[in-house]
Amino acid sequence: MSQDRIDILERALKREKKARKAAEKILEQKSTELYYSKKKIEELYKEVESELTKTDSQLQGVFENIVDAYVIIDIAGNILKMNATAAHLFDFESDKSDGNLMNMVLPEDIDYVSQSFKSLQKEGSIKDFKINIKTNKNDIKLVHVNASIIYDKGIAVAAQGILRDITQDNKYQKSLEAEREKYRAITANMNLGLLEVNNDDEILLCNSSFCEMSGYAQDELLGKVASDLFLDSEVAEIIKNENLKRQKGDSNSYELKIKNKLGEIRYWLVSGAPNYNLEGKVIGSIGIHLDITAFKKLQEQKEKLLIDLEKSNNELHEYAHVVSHDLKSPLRSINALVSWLKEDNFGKLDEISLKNFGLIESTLEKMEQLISNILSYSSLGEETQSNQPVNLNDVLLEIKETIYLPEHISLKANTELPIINGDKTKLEQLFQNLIGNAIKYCDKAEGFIEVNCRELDQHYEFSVKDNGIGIEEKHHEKIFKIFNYLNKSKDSSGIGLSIVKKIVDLHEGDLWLESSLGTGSTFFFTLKK
Amino acid sequence: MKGIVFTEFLDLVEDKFGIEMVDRIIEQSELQSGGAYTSVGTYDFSEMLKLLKNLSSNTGIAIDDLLLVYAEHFFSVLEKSYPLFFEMYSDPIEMLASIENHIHVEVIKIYPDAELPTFELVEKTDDSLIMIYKSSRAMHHFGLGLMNKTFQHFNTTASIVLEKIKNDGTEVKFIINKN
Repeated sequence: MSQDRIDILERALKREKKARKAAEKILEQKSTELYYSKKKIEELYKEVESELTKTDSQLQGVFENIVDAYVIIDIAGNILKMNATAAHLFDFESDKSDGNLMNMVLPEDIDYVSQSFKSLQKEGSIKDFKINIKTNKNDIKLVHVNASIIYDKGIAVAAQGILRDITQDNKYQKSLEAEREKYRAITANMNLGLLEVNNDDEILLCNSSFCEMSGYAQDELLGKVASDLFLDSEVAEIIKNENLKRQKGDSNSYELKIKNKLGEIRYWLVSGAPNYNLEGKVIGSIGIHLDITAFKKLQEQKEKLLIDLEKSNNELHEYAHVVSHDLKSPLRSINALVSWLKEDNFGKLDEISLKNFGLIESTLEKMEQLISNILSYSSLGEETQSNQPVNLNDVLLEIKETIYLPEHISLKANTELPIINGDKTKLEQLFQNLIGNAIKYCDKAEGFIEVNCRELDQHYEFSVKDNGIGIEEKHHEKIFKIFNYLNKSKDSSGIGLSIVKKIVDLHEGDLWLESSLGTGSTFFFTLKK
Repeated sequence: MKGIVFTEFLDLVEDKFGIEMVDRIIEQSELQSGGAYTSVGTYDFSEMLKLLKNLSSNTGIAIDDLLLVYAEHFFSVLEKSYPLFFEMYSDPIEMLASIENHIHVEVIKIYPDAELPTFELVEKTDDSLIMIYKSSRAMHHFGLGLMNKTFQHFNTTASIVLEKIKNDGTEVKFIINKN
């Protein structure tokens, strides 16, 4: 081999070696790069993997914990996966049960459902879809559905949905509507005027009765300020205060003087209550209005009558005083004159004249007593020392001591008598009159008078029983009327029982009697505790 | 420029003209790399120009003709190394039309520091293609050789006319008509 060729080959070899080394260096560098790249990729993979696990467990948590039913179905409706709530909703044994949602659709809904399913596939999702389903246990439930399609590489492979049982909601809603309708019917038809205003007193609602009361049509009222329509400025101030109270949450009732559409003054009784919104904030008030104008007029008349009555009563009272006083003095004069006549003609008068003088005297005495009784009757209405505790045992004792009780008549109380609130003098008069009558009209050899008492709810019931002459039933009514007396006797003025009746009335009690002619009488009366 | 272009070139020179010619042009070119090329390395393009120039002066063959022959040789290297590219196409026009948007994109992925020419697509029909080659290397005949071989690969031929837009050959219009 020539030297030239050897040289050429040597150079070529040298180049090859150099090229190989360069290549090796490059390769080493590349493999180092590759190693680091691989490591980096591994790290990234781990990161991605842990992120994926995290997301997956988050999703699983959502799936398990979601309050609503969650279900995944394939395109044919077969259940692929569901949570426990869904299993419960569909009445399945467990969330692992097999089922097909299409089998739960009611026959009448099939068209509706297949249409909705098509739109779900087309749009990718569907919201607020409501449908009745027949569950595994043949219960009908109304469910609310939000669903979306699951795609795999752009192809719809399944659908996932969140379902909510709104059967109860629906029932509740319906009953709420029925309630509302009932309420509406009540407010529309009730005889009371109903008015709802907001916090600015603008009318939001009124029923037909209110329109009738006010004289306005509904559209003349809505949106108007109620106080501007009906009230004078001073009355408006009152209602403003009442409205303020209501805004604080108080209910209240008050009377209003208003002007209706025709300008007539009417009186309304208003019961108002604050109206709250769902957050519990006062948003206005609702008032019930009753027209009390007629009642109010009657009341005014009554008040006037009372005043008149009081006036004439006073006049009468005064008159009775004056009359009895004025009548008594000529009586005394006549009495004096008669006794002078008797004295002056002592021994000159015959027996008949003397008897007539005696009759004049006893008549005068009776007249005097009559006038005294009228005076005492007319002063009964006066409020003296009323409402003090009075021990009726003491009262009876005092009467026993002061009254003339013949030997053949006994008087006793069979029971302990109570202490009641009242006017002592009047209560004395009451017992005295009844006992006095019993004594007066005793015709038996052995007379008795018994006082009894028993306690009732609000009253005490007393009775005064005797075995005297008794009273025929036909007279029972009239004996309590003034100037009625059945037996003409010199001490009977015909006023006693009227006084009794009046005193019982003053003590808010009743008075009646049981009696039969010849066997005796029992007078009953009640006195308020 | 990728080392494989150099190694394949020198292999071809050795094959056609003998190891002496390889030695001679390397010696004459006074290369920075010393002519020690590895296909995985990257080398300055001026070395290729020097090698081509010296080969041309030693053999009396024009540089463009040398590039043409070299390209035809290089095509077979591509066929062997990257059969996937060829399987993706069934038509040479389609393949050539996608040099810029597909093939070169993939090349950059494999060789991030490759410096590639651009082939701007001007007109395309089923049977014809007009493209504008742009490269500071002015290796349009290398392209021409690859194109000829592409048609051959799909068992067809084409007439390809080159019109220089710039005299130095850095911008050339390729008018390709399938036969």
